[in-house]
Amino acid sequence: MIKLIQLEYLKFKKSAPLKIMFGFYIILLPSLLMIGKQFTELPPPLPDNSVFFEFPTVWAYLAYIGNWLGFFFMGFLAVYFVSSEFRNKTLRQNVITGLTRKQFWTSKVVFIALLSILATLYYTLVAVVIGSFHAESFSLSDMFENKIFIFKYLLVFLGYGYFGLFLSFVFRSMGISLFLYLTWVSFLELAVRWGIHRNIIEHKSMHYYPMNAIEDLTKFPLILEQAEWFEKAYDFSFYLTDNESMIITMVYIVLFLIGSYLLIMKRDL
Amino acid sequence: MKALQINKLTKTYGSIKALDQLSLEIEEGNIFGILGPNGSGKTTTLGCILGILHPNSGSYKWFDGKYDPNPRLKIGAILETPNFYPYLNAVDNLEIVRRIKGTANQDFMEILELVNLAERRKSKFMTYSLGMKQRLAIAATMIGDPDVVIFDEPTNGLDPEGIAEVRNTLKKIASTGKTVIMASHILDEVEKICSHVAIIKKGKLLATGTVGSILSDNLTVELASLDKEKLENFLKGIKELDKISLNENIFSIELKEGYDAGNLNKMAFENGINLNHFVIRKKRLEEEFLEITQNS
Repeated sequence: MIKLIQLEYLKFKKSAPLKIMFGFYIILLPSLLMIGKQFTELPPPLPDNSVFFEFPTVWAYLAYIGNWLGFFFMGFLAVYFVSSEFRNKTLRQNVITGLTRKQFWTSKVVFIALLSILATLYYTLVAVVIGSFHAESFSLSDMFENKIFIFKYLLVFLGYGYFGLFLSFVFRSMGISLFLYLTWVSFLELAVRWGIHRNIIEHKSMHYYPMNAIEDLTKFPLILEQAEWFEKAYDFSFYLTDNESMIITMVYIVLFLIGSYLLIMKRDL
Repeated sequence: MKALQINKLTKTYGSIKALDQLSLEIEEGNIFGILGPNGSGKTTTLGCILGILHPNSGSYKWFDGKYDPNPRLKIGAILETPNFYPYLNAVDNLEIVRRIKGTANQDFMEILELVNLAERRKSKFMTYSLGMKQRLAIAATMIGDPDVVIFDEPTNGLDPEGIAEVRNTLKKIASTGKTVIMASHILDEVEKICSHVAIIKKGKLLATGTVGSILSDNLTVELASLDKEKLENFLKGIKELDKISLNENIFSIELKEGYDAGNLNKMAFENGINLNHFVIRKKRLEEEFLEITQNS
């Protein structure tokens, strides 16, 4: 396993997209949250912008920002890691040289998992630092009251990453994979949902789509109260519960992994 | 020991049969050329035995199963084009190959010097000329001291200087005693480098054996005279001659085994024919190849 991670690191340590994407992620994650300092007046029931930065709500706001960054950066990187190997024919050459197809697949899966863990550790660090600076006093239990966000955040990155990986194994072309990734997440899934369910309020199954489940892992905290009100009024929730979104995301992750594994094992390279 | 045994390998792409029950054996230490016109199935054969294409049926075995389950770790191969990470330099790219092979650390200087790339080892692959890329690919095949090295059209697209450099490198590798398998449609290349050859067309094996056994022992004689008609009538009257052809006023004939070419010259003189061109040569692989592939 370590050998495969080292191999992936060697392959991509000097590639510009990895450096640029991770650089942007490191800068943007805290910076976008700190933009909240500009919003001194917030609509009721929020008293002021301190909810963005204090424990325990800092976890939710930072995770919401991280979800957007994960969508852009992790998905793009996953597509790049796999489809660049098709484009440069280095996948073929790796196999000719002696890497098994299974090892190649494992190296991609593990490397994306490693980057997701690093991104999640950074999220945890940023949340702890920002939360600590904006609290007069707090205990460890206050700090980690919302610790489930750490796991959900990891699932967000794994979900986007393995979706990108799956698309790249299906289409092999970086352009097509990236285009489909962006359009599926942005509106194609919405269009498919609308095409199938034809109603804003339908059966709960309309939420069981992969990108919707990943987005619901870190819901937009500002409108959670309105969502609760809507659920009481119409007996229908706009969101999946935490447990539902985690389970559905994990199921899709497994499906993406199985699908990509079967593709690399069965196809000619 | 047999380096490779291919048994009734078949590969189809839709309705096209790229390989048709192809069987082949390559002994250890052979310098083996796989010859065939474009689209004959050379690269498909190599793709199947290197694990990147799934054959529809048939099987192959490397080294009598000695290095199973992953014999490719003992094989160095390039297929079609040199494939490397364009943003990495030669050393980084070779390091990736070394990691996959799982061999001991090395600085690659010896290998890079062999292919004349030591000075450019820190340049990115994307900045290399085609010849340099091809030479780096040859260097990569040498990592891990493989038992077999495979080259697919190694001089394709190179300029004359590049071709000479690559051929010299191949000869150096062949002289180390390794088994070399080379697919090519350039007959001169195979004739100069290989000890054994297989000729394939439309995915079928047409002939295989040593280069000497593929080449017939019969001599070819080229002759010409100012009196072309008289010469032609004279040649047609000799039953020991075979396959008379005319190209730009020069007759080319094949002598049956045991027939003395000098006798032909003497007989022509005695028949009042003054020859202004008389060349005796062994038949070249190119002619044999064309004959075998055209007759199939």
